[in-house]
Amino acid sequence: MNLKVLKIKTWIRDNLDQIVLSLLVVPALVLIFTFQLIPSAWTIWFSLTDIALVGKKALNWSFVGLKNYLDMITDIDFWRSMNVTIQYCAVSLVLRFTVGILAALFMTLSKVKGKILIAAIFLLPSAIPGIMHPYVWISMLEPKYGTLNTILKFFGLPPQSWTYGAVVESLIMINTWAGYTFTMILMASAFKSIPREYYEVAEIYGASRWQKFRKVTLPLIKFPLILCLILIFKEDIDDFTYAYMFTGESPRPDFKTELLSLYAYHKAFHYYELGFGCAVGFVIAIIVFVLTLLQLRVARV
Amino acid sequence: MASTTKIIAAAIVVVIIAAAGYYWYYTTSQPRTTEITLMTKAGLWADFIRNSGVLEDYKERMLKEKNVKVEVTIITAPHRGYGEKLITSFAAGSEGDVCWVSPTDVFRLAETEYLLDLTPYVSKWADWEKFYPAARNAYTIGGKVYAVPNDAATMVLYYRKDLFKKAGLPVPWQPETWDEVIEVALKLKEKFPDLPMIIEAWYEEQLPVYSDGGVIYDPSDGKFIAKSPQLLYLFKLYYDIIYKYGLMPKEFKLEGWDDRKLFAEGKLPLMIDGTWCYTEKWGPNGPYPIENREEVIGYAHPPSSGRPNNPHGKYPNTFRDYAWVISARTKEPELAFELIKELTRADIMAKWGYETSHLIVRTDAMIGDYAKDKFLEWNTEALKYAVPKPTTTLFNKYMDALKEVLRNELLINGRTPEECLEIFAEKVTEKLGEENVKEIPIP
Repeated sequence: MNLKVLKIKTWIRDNLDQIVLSLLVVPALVLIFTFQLIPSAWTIWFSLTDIALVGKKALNWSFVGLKNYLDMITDIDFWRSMNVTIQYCAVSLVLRFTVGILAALFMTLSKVKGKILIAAIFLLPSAIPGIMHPYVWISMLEPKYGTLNTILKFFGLPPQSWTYGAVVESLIMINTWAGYTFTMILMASAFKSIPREYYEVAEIYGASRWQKFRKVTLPLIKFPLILCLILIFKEDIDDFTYAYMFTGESPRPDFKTELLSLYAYHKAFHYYELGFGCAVGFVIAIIVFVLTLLQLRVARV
Repeated sequence: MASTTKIIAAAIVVVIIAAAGYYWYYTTSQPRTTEITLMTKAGLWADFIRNSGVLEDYKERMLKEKNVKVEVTIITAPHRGYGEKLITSFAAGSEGDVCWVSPTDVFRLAETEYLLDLTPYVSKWADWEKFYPAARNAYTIGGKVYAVPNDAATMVLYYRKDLFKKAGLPVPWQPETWDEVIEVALKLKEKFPDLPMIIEAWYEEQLPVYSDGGVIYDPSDGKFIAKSPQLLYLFKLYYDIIYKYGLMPKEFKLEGWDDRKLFAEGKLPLMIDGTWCYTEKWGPNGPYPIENREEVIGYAHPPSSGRPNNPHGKYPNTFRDYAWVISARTKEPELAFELIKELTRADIMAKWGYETSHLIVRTDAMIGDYAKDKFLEWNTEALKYAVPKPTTTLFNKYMDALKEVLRNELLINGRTPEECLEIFAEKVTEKLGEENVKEIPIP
């Protein structure tokens, strides 16, 4: 008996570090299990049924296998939504990245006075709580009385149809405004982490600006850069708030704002087809999961 | 000695009986404490309940009549997306004991057995007979009552009296046909070429079908109408207003203009909107107050198409309203129903109607300020022309198809009424299923 206790004690003493480290993971695991794994499992299960949120199918639902997925890939609206989402993500990616990297370059290279103040202004979109963004932009884009059209009118320019004709452009503009700071912060820290000595050595060897960028800067920011691109795309693929702001409870008949997440939402909560909505949600989750694997791979390198 | 013991034993028994009796009396005479949750829209709706004194009256009555101390907790959800929040709450089991619902949601919820059958409660309630039959019937499914109506609203043809006078048009004005509306709108356009007009029943797009004596749903066989002369009339009317006469700018619908604001600013001479706009939007506490409303705002019934013997009457209209339901999961069904009785009291209904311009749905509620309000008195009369919504869960899908065709095909693609009708028939059949639709031949 004593020998057993002694063995246990010895094992604990020998593995104390591992035990403590394992215990540190427990709270995160509990949270992930409760709020992610269980709901995810429910989502997958619901996506294999014809369950509805309300009505007869909420009471008498049944297992339908992959029917929701088959219905989804044969649904023209799903592909319209996929098309809208890809366009939105692609253009947002370019703009969020370009604007963000320009701001990052300004922050790291510029020597103008008041740079800190300008940087603080750059960071304003991320300082405004996300819940406020739609309210701010609704007042900006309102076609008759909105701030943007009032400014255009002041300069004698024709007012724009921000909420209809240019609704996709508006969506991307808001997303860029709210999201470029992410690129700016990430890339600014990447630029800052490059030792100045590398450039000095390059100068000694007579390297041009382009050569310094290609041989020093680019290799050293390559991975943060790829990571940034993946994270932006991952963030945008399941965007919801701004698209919902321009759309509302039911899909716009022209479908211009029907991002995948909104399509899933409308299916589940407007048409109450919960099973179908979960199937779309699961497809989005798979896309995000693949991007996360890619991100982990890049981050590990 | 023995007798002393007996006396002591008897005394103990008496004391125990007396104590038990006192305990029984004490516990039964003390009020029971319980809680009722009430779910409604945030803002105007919840504020009215909080400030009208109705909850205090209810609590007092429950204490007096039932010896129950009730705490009422109000759960709110924003106006936008309220229906979705409500349905989700029911699905999640987090709904209130008493909930504020739209008619289309009542049928969905009843179908899912989420709602308490109120038939045994209303059958014992003398006031139930005072509700308008149309309102009572609107919530009766298969002979069972699932909701108590709270208010009603119709579509109103609003016009600016000042602009009418400037254009030399008669005030007051009540057109008898849609052709007359177009005629007047053309005169207004001639006088005010820059001002748009909103001659469209906003979210009640089906209105012209009723104007022409048709229906969108046939309760006799439970089928929706995919094609009919009246649906063709609907597409023709909207087509003419937009394209033939250029009266309504397409951008209004596509860009979502704030027509109520434009009307308040005198930039919109004519528009169709709901009863509630009169006070909720243009009243002294509304977002766009209009001073001297009676002098500025003119109102008329939406007219008919002119087709003789319209079964919906002279001025066919739509019927919008809200009602109260009780969750089937409530632990206090009696108290929940008592709360609904309080919320739909004649004086409370009249007060709500007056403060927000919603119409009363019980015959004895034409009292107080409501009865003195000319607009409300006039609009309450319009209820007799109102066609209730189809009481089926497919109604939303039908309306989605109609909105989609109006927007995509008529507004964006500029298709002819005949083309729109064909596309609509196809779409509605696809959305609702062949077994749920039928076509009425077009002569």
